[in-house]
Formats: sequence, structure tokens, C-alpha cells
Amino acid sequence: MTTDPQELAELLPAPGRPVLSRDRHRVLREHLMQHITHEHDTIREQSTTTPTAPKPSARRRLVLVAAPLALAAAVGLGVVTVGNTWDGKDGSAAADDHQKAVQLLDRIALAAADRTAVTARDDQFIYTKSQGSAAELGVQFSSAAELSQHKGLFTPKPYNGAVRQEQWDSVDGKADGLRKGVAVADPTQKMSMGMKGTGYLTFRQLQALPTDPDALLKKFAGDAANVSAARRTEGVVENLGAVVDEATLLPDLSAAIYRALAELPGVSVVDHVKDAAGREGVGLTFKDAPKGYAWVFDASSLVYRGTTDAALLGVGVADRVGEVPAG
Amino acid sequence: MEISLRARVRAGDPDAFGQLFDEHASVVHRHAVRMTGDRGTADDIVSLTFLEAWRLRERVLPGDDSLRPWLLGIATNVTRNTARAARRHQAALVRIPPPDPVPDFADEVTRRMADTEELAAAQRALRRLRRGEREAFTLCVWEGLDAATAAAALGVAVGTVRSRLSRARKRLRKLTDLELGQAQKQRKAQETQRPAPVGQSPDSRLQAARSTPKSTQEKTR
Repeated sequence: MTTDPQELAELLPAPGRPVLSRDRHRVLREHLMQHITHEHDTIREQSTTTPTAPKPSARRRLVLVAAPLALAAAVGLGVVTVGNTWDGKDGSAAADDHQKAVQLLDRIALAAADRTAVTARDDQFIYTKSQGSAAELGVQFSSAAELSQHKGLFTPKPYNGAVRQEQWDSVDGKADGLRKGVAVADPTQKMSMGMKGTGYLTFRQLQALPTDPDALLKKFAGDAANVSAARRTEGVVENLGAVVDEATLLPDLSAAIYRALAELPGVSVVDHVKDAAGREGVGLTFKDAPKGYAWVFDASSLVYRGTTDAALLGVGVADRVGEVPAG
Repeated sequence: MEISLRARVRAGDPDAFGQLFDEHASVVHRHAVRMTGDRGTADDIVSLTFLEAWRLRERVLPGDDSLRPWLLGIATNVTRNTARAARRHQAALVRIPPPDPVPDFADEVTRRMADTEELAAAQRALRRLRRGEREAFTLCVWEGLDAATAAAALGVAVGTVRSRLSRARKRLRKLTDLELGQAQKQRKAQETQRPAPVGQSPDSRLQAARSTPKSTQEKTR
């Protein structure tokens, strides 16, 4: 899987030559400097407080209120973390949480390992059907034709409602894939696009992944060594999340994924949660995950339901793109 | 010995922020325009990025490396959640006069119109990527950050950036020139095929939405 920037730039060249006009640069700069010098002076005033200790000013109170926000944003440079249930618990409560997550993951892994493995020929396609927000699934409805009818400044607006996406990925990565999207509330809003080449990992590559949790973890943590230990879980979860849908066809790999998750710090159980299609289940969330984000499992069968952002409605093997597998 | 820019930024030296703005505002602006396809939003993102940089200044590590990746990382986060950042800096933002909607020179107008088509077409392609893929793509490919620098700017592992790029690549591979750059040509072709005037009525939207899937499907197999 090459990620040569040159090749990527040919696929989607940097558009336009946007220039910040000299006037605008001046206006924005002046504004920034005004804000900064203002606050700078305020801070200085505070640090030279006289022994008579004046009543804290309204401005000072504002500074104090801003501190927790700043901390939250500092933690969340990559991902928003405000309100994560994991934060702020004492050690033993966190340990209890983790113990509960490990037990649940163990049950999920056992249930997953018990399912039948699905096989597929090289010339077939892995079909996945998902539901979630257009932004999350990368579904965009405006067509080239529609776009060309606009003159002047125009930005296609993202669709805000729920969309359903069907995707066909070549088993060996050699054939072109297909993605189709449709708005749940309005079936006339549709998208269809071909996909060329292999993406992250093909189904064949998934089958070749180690099914030992430690080996799998090593593979998916990859070069996370230069990332602080606290952010390791986040990276691994993202990488595993990219394959977990297709992995539901491979019991041994699924089980290994869940056992690997159980080894990560910062995994906890959310008892009642709904996937992006509104189906209720039991959830797993992760340290530093966006607020409300969880992987969702059916409470009794422990089948993987997708996430709170993108529900997994179906997975299967199709003979050709555009064909929905039976069952 | 001269105190480094990073040290001065950390210390909250206003002049250091002036210098930071002069050196990097144009790049942050370009990144914002290309990420959003919208110049008005981009102006806000520039302001919010530097206000956030000021707020987060104590997180700057010592050294001599350029602060550009750090600023681009902040700009990316601000773009992801403009509303949240705007709420935080609401009081500061209202004081900025809105940009002049009419550019100063005629050739500027022409250039902007050509740019706008490109920007809108690129938006269409970008919106087909997942958020994380979009962020890794614009930082690495359009702004030329290497994977490690982009990873640091986004606060994720290098492998995560690489896998996002690889997934972005797959989704972009099939977007042809027709979809990306030749919207105009297509419009001409359609005008000859379809004599009925095409406006912005809901009907023509539907028609456009219906006709495209069909043509894409035919191409695929």
C-alpha cells in the first residue's frame, strides 16, 4: 500500500491558488494583536497584585473559567475528549471499569470465535452495508452536473441526515470496487462511485493477519512507539476499527481483535448505547474517543453492530459489484 | 544569545505572535480555503487558529523547528469544529470587520472564478473521504508535510496517517477528470443533450442526482 504524495497529488491536485490579500492580512493581524496585547496586559496586572488584594475583576473570573477548557483542548489536540467517562475516576474505579471491559470482551471474543468462517474466491467482493452520518461515511450527493450549474462562490453543503452506504471491495484487491450511498429520509438523494485499487487491507490480507492477540496488537500498534503511551489505545482502536467490519466474516480474526482490545488500557463498558441506526446494545468506549463514541454489540448474541457513528447493517460475499448477497 | 521564537511564543511575547502571523497566516489561510472551499469561513479559521495558538502557547516544545505544522494542526482541529472554537472566542471574533465581498481588480475576479470552480470540485472529492482521511490527505499531499510531521500535528501515530492516506487513495482513484476538472465541458455537453433550461429548481437537482449514478455504474462494469 503505497502512499506516495506525488501519486496522491495526481489523484486530487491542490485546488486553486487562494491568496490572503494584503488588506485582509492586515485586518486579521491587527485583530489578533489587539486580543493578545489586551490579554497580555491583563495577565501582567494580575501578577503584580498589590498587598491590598483587590477584588477579582470580572475579567479575571473569565480567565479562571477558561482554564478547564484550555486543559480539555490541550488533551484533545487530535481528538475531542471532553466529557469522557474515563477521566476523573480514581484508580480503583478505573480498575473496576477495566475489569468489566475485559470480561465483556472475553464473552464477545468467545461468541465471535464460535461463528462459521466465510470463504471467498479471489474474483468475488466483500459487501458491507452501513448507516450513519454522511460525513462519517464519506457520502456526498451533489453531482458534477449540479455543481457545474453554479457560478461564483459555491460550496457543496454536506448532507446532514442519516445515509445508508453499500460497499463492494474486491477480495484480492485486483478488481475495482463500488460504493453507493442513499439518504435514509429521501431515496432520491443518491451517490455511486467506483473505487480503484486496494485500500487499507484486502480480505486476503485480513485472512493472513495473525490471530494471536499479542502479535495482532504489535502489528496494529505499528510505529505508535513515538506516540505517547496515553494515545496508543486511540491509534490501535482506529486501525482495528478500519478492519473490524470485514473481520466479522473471519471468526478467528474477530476473536483476536477483541482479545487484543482487552489488553489495551482505557477500554470501558457503556451499558446502554445505540448504534447509528438506533439499535440498542452494549457498548465499549475508549480513552480519548470522541464524546459518545462506542463500539456497539447486541446485548444477547454479542454480535458486532457497528459504532455509534456508523452502524453495520450487513456483511457478505457477492459475485459482482452492485449485487446484494442473499441472507 | 538570541531567545528562540518557540521560547518567546511559550512566554506569550506578543511580538513573537506578530511574527508567527506574518510568517504563516497565508499558509494557514490557503489550508483553510482548500479544506472548506469557502473563503469567508477560511478568514474565521485563520483568526481562530491564531487565537487558539495563543491560548495553547504553553504547549509549544522548545527547539528550532518551524511552528508551521503546529499551526496547521490547530487549523485542522478548528476546521473540524469551527462552531466550538468560535463559541470559545466569540467575544474576540465579533470585532473583526467582514471581508470586502468585491475584489479590487478585474483580473482578480477572473482568477477567483477559476479558483472557485476548482475549489468546489475538490470539495466534492474531499467530502467522499472520511474526516480523518481528509485531514491526513490535505496536510500531507496539499501542504507537503511528511507523514511523521502530519502525525505529530494531528496527535496520532505515523501508521495511522499512512493508513488514512492509503484509504484516501482508494476512494480517490476512481474520481476521473470528468468529475474533477471538467465540470464545464460536461455542462456544455448537457446543454446540447438537454434543451430544457436548467435552473436551480428541485427538479433539476433530482435529475442531476439520478443521472450521475447511472453513468458511474455503467463505467464500473
